[in-house]
Amino acid sequence: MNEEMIEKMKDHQNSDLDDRTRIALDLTEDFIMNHANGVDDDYMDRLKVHYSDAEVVELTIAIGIWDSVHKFNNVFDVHPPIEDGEFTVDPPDVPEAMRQHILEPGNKY
Amino acid sequence: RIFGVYAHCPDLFQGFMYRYLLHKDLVRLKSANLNGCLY
Repeated sequence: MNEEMIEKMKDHQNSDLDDRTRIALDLTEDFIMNHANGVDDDYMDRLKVHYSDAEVVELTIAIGIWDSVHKFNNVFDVHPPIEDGEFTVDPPDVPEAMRQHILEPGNKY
Repeated sequence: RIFGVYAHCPDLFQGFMYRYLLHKDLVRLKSANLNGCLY
């Protein structure tokens, strides 16, 4: 992840990001800005060209989690549960103080 | 006005942290951008 990719993300439809990434960002935008009303059978068929059924489900869950986190933050004027700031290289980690709240024994956190 | 605010409801906070399994960074930043958040 770098600043160039961030800029492409902001205007993903006019970017040279690959089709797989752009359709995921299309779904993100429609989910958040249009209540996912733009998703129809044709759109789902196009998603499935790039993603397995399980990947489509996980992608949708991930979008829902982040949308709810960001709206929660707006309500309470707080920041997301990551420590690295705007740009990260690896997956966002869970801040130390919050790790005790994860219940899965085998979880890497 | 009153992230880990969430701890006012510790049972729900545990549930959130458990799912946050999520076993994607561009999607996170797209959501932040669309919701007017920094990251």
